[in-house]
Amino acid sequence: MSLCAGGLVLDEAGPTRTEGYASRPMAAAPTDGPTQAGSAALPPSHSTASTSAGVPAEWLARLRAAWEGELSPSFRRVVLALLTLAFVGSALLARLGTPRARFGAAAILAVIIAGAIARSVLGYVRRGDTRRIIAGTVGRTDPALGAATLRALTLVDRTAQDETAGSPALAALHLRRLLDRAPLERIKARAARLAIGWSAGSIVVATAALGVVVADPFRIIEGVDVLAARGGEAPLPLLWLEDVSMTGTPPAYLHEPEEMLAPFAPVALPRGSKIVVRGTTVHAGRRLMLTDGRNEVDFVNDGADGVVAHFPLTDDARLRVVAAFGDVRVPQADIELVTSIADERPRVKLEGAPRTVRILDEPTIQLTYEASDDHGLREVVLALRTGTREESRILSKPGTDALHDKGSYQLSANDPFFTKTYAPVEARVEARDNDEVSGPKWGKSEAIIVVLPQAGEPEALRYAELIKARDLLTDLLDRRLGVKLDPKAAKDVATVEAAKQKAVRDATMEALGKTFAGLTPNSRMTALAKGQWSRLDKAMDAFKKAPSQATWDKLVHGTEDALLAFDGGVRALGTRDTRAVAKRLADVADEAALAAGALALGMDIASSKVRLDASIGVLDAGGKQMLKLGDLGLDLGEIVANDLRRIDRSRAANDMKHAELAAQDLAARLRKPDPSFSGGGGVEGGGGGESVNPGEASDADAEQAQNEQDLEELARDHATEMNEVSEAMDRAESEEREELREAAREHAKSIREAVKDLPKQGRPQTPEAEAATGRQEAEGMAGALDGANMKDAVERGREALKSLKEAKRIGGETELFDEGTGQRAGQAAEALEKELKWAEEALDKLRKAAKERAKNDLSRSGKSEEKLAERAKSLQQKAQKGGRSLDEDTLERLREAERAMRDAQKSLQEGDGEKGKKHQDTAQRALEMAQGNKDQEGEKQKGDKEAPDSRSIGGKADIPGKDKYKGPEAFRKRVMDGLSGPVDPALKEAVKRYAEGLLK
Amino acid sequence: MKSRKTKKTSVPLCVLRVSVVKKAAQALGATALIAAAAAASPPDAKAEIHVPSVAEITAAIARGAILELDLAKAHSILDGQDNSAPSIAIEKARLAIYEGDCDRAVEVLSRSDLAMSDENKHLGEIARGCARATAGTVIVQDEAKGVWIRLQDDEDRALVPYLVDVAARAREALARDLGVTLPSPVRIDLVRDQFTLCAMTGLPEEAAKTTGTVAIAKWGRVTMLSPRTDGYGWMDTLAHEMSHLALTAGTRDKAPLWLQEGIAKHEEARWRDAWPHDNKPSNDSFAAVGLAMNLGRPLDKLGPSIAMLPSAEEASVAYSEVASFVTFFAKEVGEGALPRLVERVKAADGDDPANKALQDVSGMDLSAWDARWKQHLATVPTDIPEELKPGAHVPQMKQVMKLARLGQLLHDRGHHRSAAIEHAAAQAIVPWDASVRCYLAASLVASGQPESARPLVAKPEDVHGRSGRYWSLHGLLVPPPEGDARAFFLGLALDPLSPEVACEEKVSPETPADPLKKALCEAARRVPR
Repeated sequence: MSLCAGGLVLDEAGPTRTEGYASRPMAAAPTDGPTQAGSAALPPSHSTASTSAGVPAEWLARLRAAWEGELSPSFRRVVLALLTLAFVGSALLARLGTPRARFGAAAILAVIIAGAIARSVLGYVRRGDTRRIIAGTVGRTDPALGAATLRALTLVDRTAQDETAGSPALAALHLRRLLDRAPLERIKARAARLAIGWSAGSIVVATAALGVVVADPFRIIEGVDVLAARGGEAPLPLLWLEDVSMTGTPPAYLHEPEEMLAPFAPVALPRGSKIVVRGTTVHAGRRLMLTDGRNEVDFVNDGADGVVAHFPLTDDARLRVVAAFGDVRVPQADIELVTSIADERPRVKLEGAPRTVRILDEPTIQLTYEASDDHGLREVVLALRTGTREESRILSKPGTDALHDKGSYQLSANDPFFTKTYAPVEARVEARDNDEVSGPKWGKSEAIIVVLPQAGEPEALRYAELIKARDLLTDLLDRRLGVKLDPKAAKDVATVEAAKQKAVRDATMEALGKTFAGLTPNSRMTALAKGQWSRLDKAMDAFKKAPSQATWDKLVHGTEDALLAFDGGVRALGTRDTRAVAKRLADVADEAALAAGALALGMDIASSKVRLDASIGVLDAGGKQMLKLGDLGLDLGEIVANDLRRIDRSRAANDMKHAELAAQDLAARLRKPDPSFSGGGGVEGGGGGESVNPGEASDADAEQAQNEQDLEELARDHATEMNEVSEAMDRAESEEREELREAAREHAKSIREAVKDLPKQGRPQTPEAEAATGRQEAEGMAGALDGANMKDAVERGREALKSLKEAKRIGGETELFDEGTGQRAGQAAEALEKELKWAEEALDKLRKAAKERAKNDLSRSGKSEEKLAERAKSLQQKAQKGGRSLDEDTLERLREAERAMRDAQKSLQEGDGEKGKKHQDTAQRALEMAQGNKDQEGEKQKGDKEAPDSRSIGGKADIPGKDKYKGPEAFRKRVMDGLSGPVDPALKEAVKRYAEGLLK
Repeated sequence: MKSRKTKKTSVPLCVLRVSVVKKAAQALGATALIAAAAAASPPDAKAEIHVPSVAEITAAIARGAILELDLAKAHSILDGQDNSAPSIAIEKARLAIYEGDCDRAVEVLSRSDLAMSDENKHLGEIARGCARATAGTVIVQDEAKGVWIRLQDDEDRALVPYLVDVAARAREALARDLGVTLPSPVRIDLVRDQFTLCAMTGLPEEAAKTTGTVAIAKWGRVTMLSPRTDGYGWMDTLAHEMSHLALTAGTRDKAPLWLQEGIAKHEEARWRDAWPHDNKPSNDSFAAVGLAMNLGRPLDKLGPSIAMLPSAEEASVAYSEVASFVTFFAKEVGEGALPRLVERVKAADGDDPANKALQDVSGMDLSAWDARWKQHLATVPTDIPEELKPGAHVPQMKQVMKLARLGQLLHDRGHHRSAAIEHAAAQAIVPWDASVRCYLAASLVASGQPESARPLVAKPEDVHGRSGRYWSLHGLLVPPPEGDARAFFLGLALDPLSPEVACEEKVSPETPADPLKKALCEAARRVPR
């Protein structure tokens, strides 16, 4: 627009109009000379033609030609120069790469092009504007003439429209005359001056554009490329990096070496590998990157002449070198196709999975697994899941990046995870790999679904099994009640009955030995049954020996007693089991109440509903199991069913508050698992005398409980007494030992001196090996003497002497090869023998002195031992009658214990502590064996107090101090002694039981 | 003693309802009397007199109405009163409990300031126990007969027609004998166990177990055990407890324990005609023997409840004592003695309203009556069978139980002949025991010897003790005219949910024809065994 000052009209007419004139003969006018000559050359038709304003067209053409003929070339040059400058500037601007820059560049180009088009259009529109042409040419050169011409033009227009304004012919004539006076030469000269200025300007602009291009022509290409980018990527690949080399380094945990790669050739590498690309930059100053389209890594100076980029490989990649211009990437044409080899999840195979296991059918589930990984395993675990609970147990931590691991795990019905769980449990073996790149991954085996028993189901099954056994006993009684004994056939009857009895006994004992989903046989019930069968077997033996009506009657009564005792035991067990199950269900009812409460408050509706449904399901199933557990089970099971109906009723009415209250009521009731009614008769309705309640016919369970308690107390008191004896002996010995301490140290020195030249080690079965053992034992003896521990000193001294003599013997046999070890060992043995003799004498002296010192204490213990023996005897007597009957094995243990106690009493009263203690040990072992294996019944497992009716405990019980009762500790010590040394026949059973316990 | 500050009411007088203001004015008169008495008291005693607030007076009036079971009147007093006064709130809670609306009571009593006193705490515990035990239960109401029954176990629905019938008859009997008509509806809570019985009434559970409590009349309703767990005389028990309600209402809860229990025992069988085992042994004889055995207690020293006596023996003697005494008194004074006594007790003031009422009615106080009654006891026969004496111990009872149990085991296995052998041995030891006779009779019937069984259940006078099964077997084996026509009903009155009793010894699927009996039979068969 700055050009407007020079000639707006013509400038706006633009080249198009100029071309339009050029197509006519008029175009030749500049070469034909001045305006007049041109005018003469005009064809007649043109000379007479007029514009709408009445201006002859030839005049207008002449005027335009005079102006444009000078100015148009310069104008075109200016436009071209400007376009070039705009293009270069746009390219440079676009090269910044930012969206704003690219938009600016595009905008500049668009504006320039749009301006040019706009001017063309405008010029075309204005080419018929006579007044603007006259004003732009004549008016600028000769303003007065221009004004007069415009007035004349106005007059022509008026006369044409208004006849009263004057003669149109005269007006036209006047205009023509004025136009004739137009100074064409001056107009040309003015245009020429302007053209010179424009040309100069175009040269300046073009020079500037050229200068920018010449400085770095590649920048213009980059700019254009960036400007044309789509989606952040330029369309034209350019060369950025040459002399390219590539390496691939697998992740460190794979322990694989670096690999040379062929540049831009497809390759497969482990995930996590580092790809290193090196090269020389083609164009300095560009920010080069290595990219896979998602991740970009900058090339950095490699310290020499090149650049380097380290690209970590994750997934499959198309690696390219790119130059970054702002947000736009201009790629290099080369592509490196890299396939990422993923670290796979560990594979875990669990034998037999997938499968569903009912724990009732399979109380022990063997989980045998095999895990493997492509690169290495770190950990193998057993994962147990149910509902929201989850637990994981480490099965194995394989060594350094082991690729395989296998093992086995036993999941038992008594697993703590199954406690208070009633929903199915999913068991899987899971393995973790060593992937340090994408993080450790877990591989899982197929699942084994463990279906747990319903609450109370194992107890109900056990109860049913025992009821079956009781029924067999009932049938046996029925059979015997129906027999009318014929003395002649009594022997046959005896034979048949003995066989029947054996069959029933075997069946009952088998029933008692069964386990149900980890629920072990009940020890009290087992002891009761054994006791009753023992009694019944004796009665049978008596009948077989002397078949008569009297012995037969005894057998029948015995059968009745056994049945009643067994029945009493089973019913009591059912009651105890019911109580235990009720307490478990109380927790579930609490959970139901909590869930219903949450629903009442509108909290966690979805999860609370699930919890409530689950709890109700467990309660329903548990309640039904309780119905199978005898009288109390029937009572409480019916209450569970009723209270569940109450909950359901409230839920159906959408009254969750009352559902919560009903569940709370159920929980409270189950926490007090007593019969619904007790007290005998109901005084409010009227009372009466003593009533017959067959359910109370047998006290066998309570009597067995009394046996257990008496035995336990006897064993505990005896252990306390043993401890007293040990303490008394230790006390006495320690006083005597003090007096020996100085002398013992001197002897210890002599022993060390005697063995100092012996070897410390040697090959097996050589004099050196035996001598080394002898030295070791001798030094042990010396150590014991330092502590005045004469007993240990003697024992180790004997061992040392044995080894040294053996060394001497072997040395003598292999004299040729021996290097004097045998001889040295012989000399040491001689010295040691003397020292051992001294130690033995000292020990003997010490014992005698200690015995004298402890005499009073031991005598007191002897009396106590006598009382304990009496208790054992009393217990035996009680345990041979009625419901307290114990089996013959247990009675024999009690007899053995009593005998040993009496022996101990004798020894202790004689002051022989060592002997007395040995007898005490025997007695204690017998008592512990008489106690048998105790199981943990339901209530006890949960840490509850024993049900009030399960034991009849009367009188005071002495509770020993924590330091006095060392029964379990002493037992363990005795067994460990037994395990570590040669097996004492007396310890054989105890060792066996202990070992079995360890295995369990 | 500590002085107590006079509490100010937070209820402005202007907002009190007119009727309440009238009541309050009456009470204020009483307050004025108290104030006058205070003025006449020594100076140090004045400081201890508590002048009740208007709210406390209103609450006291409401409480009186509640104790009289006039719940509508209590509502008219309490409705619209501001709960902020603790005394009003407590009475509103009490009213809710009396109406069986334990949720409302819990809501009222949930205020922390109301749990300050032991009494309120106790009330709160009962309300909560009741709300818990009755949530989701079933309520059956017979509006025509004015009986409202809440069943903790909906399976007890079959008992409802019988309960309604007994309640309606007992109401009539009480109106006739005591001059007290129980307001409608009579509320009965039939609960599943002693646990709930205690939770709903506040009776300590240990006490209930010791004395074998099966029902309590408290809080304006009868709470009784369902006979499904263990059969008992549930019909008489209901009548017995309704007598307590009537007496509480009729005396505004002023009747002492001896009068309460004496009248209840006296009335428990008055709703019906006489039954064969009624009064066997007689209360007079049993009380005489019990007192002679030092198992009795003075009438006015029975403690807070017979259910809380230390043993079932002492409780049974106490029941006989009070029953014997009340019957003696009623007989001696003549017709209308009890209604007049009840009326006078209600009207009497002082520490011992019953004693004053006795004097008003008969001209003699309790000690004089006690002496007369004991003279009477000295004349009654005391030759009751050993086994019926209080705390009777049958030496061979353990053996009987063993034989009975063996018989049961054999019977249940289908060895009926062998079962009969064992039961017969037991029956030989205790020939008077109804239940052992039943075991034996059932085994004999099952082994195809009904003729041998018949004599065992033919003569009710031969046996002691109440056994539902005895009557059903009696009904089966000794049909009318020789046998008792009501036998099956008597069985139901003792053990309604035993299948044999409820189904009149019919074998499933056979049921009694009567629809009510049929429903009961079916319910009994549904009880898990």
